Amino acid sequence: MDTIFSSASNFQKSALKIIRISGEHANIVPSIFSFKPTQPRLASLRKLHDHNNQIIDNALVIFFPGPHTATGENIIELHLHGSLVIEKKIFQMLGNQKNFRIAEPGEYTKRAFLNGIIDLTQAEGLNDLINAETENQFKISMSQFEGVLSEKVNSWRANIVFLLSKLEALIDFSDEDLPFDLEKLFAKNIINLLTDMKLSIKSSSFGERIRNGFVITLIGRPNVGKSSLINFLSDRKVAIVTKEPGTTRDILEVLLDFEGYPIILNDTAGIRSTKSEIEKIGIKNAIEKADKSDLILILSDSENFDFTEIKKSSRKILIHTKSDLGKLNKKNVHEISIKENTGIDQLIKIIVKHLKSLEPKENALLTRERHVQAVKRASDALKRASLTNLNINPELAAEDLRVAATAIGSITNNIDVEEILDDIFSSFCIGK
Amino acid sequence: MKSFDVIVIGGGHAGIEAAAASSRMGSKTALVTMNIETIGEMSCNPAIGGLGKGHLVREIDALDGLMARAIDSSGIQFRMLNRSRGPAVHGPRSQADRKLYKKSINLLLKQQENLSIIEGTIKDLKISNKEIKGVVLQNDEVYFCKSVVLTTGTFLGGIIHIGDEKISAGRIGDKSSEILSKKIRQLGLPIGRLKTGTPPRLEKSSIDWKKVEMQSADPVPVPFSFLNSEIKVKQIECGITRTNIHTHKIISDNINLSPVYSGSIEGSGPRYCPSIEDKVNRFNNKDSHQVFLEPEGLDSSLVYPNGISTSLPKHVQDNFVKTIVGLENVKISQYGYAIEYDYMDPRALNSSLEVKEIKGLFFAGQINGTTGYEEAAAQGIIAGINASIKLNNNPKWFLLDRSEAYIGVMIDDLITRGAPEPYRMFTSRAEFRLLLRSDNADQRLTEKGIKFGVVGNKRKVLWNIKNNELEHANEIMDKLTAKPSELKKYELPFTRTGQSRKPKDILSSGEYHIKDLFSLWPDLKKISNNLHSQLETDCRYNVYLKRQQEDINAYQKENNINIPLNVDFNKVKGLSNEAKDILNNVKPNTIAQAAKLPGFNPTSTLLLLRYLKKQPKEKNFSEN
Repeated sequence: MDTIFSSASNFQKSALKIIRISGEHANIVPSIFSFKPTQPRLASLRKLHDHNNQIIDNALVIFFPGPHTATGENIIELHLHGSLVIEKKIFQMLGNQKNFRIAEPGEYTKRAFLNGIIDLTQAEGLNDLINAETENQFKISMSQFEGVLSEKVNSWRANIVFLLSKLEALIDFSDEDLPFDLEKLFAKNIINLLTDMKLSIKSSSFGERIRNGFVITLIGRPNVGKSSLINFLSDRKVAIVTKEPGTTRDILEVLLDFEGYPIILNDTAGIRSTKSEIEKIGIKNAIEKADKSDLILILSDSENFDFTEIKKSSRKILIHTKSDLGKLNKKNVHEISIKENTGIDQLIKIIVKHLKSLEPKENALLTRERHVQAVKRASDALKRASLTNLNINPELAAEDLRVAATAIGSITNNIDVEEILDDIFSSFCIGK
Repeated sequence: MKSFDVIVIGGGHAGIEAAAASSRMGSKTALVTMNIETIGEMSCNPAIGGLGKGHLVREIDALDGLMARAIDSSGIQFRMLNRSRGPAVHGPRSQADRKLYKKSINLLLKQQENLSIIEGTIKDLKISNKEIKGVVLQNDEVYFCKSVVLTTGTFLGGIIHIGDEKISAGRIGDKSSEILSKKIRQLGLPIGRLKTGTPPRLEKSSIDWKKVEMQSADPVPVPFSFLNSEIKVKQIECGITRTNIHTHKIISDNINLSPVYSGSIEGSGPRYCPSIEDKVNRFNNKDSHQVFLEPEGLDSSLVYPNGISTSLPKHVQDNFVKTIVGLENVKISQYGYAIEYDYMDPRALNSSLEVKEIKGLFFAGQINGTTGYEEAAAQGIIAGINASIKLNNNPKWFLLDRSEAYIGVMIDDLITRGAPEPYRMFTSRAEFRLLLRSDNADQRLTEKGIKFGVVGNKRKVLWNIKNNELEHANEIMDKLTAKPSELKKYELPFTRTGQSRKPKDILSSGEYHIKDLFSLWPDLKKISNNLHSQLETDCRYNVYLKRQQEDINAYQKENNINIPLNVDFNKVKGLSNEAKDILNNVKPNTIAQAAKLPGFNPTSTLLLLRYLKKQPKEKNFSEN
């Protein structure tokens, strides 16, 4: 396998640069740059030289001999001054070495996975960590990267395998006396597993939301202040990417961070009766968007908050805008004024409170659709097993337990995984 | 200077099936044994079958082997294990009358064409250019042949231990094979030591049967062989008793006198039929173990106490046996012993059971590290078939994979994992257990056996009749359908969605029989009664099998991804050195085999697969 290298921030100027080299031959890097090899895991200053013995840089070098490293291979890190010229020179010299090349996106993590240093969920967690923009995204992805999800999933699997082995004993040693009461054990364990898994599936949408953002849609008649609100928020600290100063373009969607919760806030067309076909389409889209949201903010500058098109069961917060012109003083209606900048902070707090109420007690969340599918498959199989009479058809229950164990196992590892691997690792940015 | 096509060395259960199979295929076969009188001898437990083992016997029968027919003529206590449970875990089993079993085997062998049985001791193999040429007997006579099947069981380097007595023997009363043992080692094949044991034999008349619980045979014994419809042998009862704390105390007090515990035997023993010393030592929270008292024959004076295998000194055996209820005054006619013997690491074999390094040399049976008559016989039949196929110019081997038969599971396990302890078959070893049932062995294997020429005429004719009947029956069932209103009328389950149902839908729950559907669907009466059970069973497992079919397809596909003979494993990117070593040592032939290697994790398999996919197509493969 080739030895790979890249810098933590390829081809960009920065004060410092870290070039990481991973692979079988990483240990020859000292000879490439003519410096004295360093002690393992001891950060040491070294002068890096080119072929003409000119100094390229005075760097901090750290060598990690495999296999107990981040990638499972030999790794050497060069901490350099952030000059693009230095980076270019070093890349050139490394690239000229036989079996050395620039790393592909996600390749370090891929090697970590292939060498068994991390499992699939941890690789996914790492990816999420790199992409995390809010505190909650950080929390959850870090926890997944640390293996919290793996631990939970592996303990389920171990439990299923334990039951399976007892069942196999019942089948293959039927004419010897066995001491335990299998049915009770089975029933108890399966109920616990099913409850746990059900909770997990329920909480999974939260995990996905943390990754992708909670969808909040603004609904209201034209000119009640929807666009004002969204523009206002997009200029504030809560915006993840603030609007370029001086632009007057109206935002349709903005990414916000409300106390760590990632929000995708959507503006929509004002809802009213109209003959215009185009407008009708816009209104239809607004309703559809609202239906798919996690939360709907209904804005009105009057007493009327009735929108029959919106499903009754949807989660909504009623907001009376332009409160500088007069308040409604209704209990369940929140007052804001963009002009005078009042009520906005409280609104944010109310939204956060609402989202917090969705948060499961679970800290090991399923964050991806494939996790959820696997747990559903396992649950279905366990349900079937629990309905099977162990005395009459233990082999059918055993079969279902096998299916469950395999499904759970696929969360952390996967054999026919080519597409999934490529999919996961290609979404990493270069240098990881 | 005699010459044969195939020579089988050793007349045990593996040798018998190998010799018979190769003869059935039309090859001129010789079965060479040190003692003609012991052909068909049961060295240990006088019983055939059980869980997993019973499946093997049915599969051997489906390929027209002898074991099932022999036990049907000699079985004196037939019991279907797990009878109250699903058909996939039914284990046909029977105690045997030793004499009748031997008689039956010998009669079947006598009737076999192309077969010569020769008494003699083989002292060497003639090998040149890594290919078998013949065998050399004790008297220096040479027999030439194209294939040799070695089925020497526990005879190579066999040493029997009773306490600190040591006797060189292959089985009590039979001398071991020393010279051949040396020669095999000289061939450079990986040889190791294993051990197994046997209990004492008791005088039937000295047992107090009144104190012992009796267990009878099944009311209607189910034959092992597909050729037989009933069992005519007289059925008897067996006794069940237990050890107790007094027994255990004597054993633990004397444990250091046991050759295993005193270190005089090396070699690991089977986890699954451990000696009573092992049981007492390992399960010391159990204060009693079951002992089955199995008469050795209809007119035999001996009883085999199943469960107290031992190699403790004779006086200790006398003492502890007498503490068992019913055995207070028992007379031991033959003491229990442990036997250690040479075995060959089966990873040196291909899935055809041919030795990778030496063409034409096949190993089968206990010599490959298995334990049990059934396991031996199953390997024997495969080795015999392939030894005969070897004679062809472009041999197309007879191979069974894990989705086709328990025989396939066993051979695959042996050649990929080796035998760190004596290998015994269990149903849990088969991931496709629902498919590999003992009731459908003929449906799975007989057709293939016919194609390869190992199935005789009588069975061929019967199979074709049954096959046609089954097809016909399935056709009838497929055409029938009923609406919810009709189902309701006959008190049969219907769906609320208004869907029509077919007979197989109703039968899949296992709660109904074909007979229950006669009034709704009179056409079903056209199906002959003796097929009912088979059809009901097939329906019962259908849903599960459909679900498993994807796995089976994926497995077969993976199994068919051959690894070229000349692949340089060192070139596979990303493989750890450990994985490379494993591949270089074992040299698996298919991806499926590689995946099973211990120490070879799923990502290694993935890497190997990717590497192979990128290779140009023209490499040559092993003869598959």
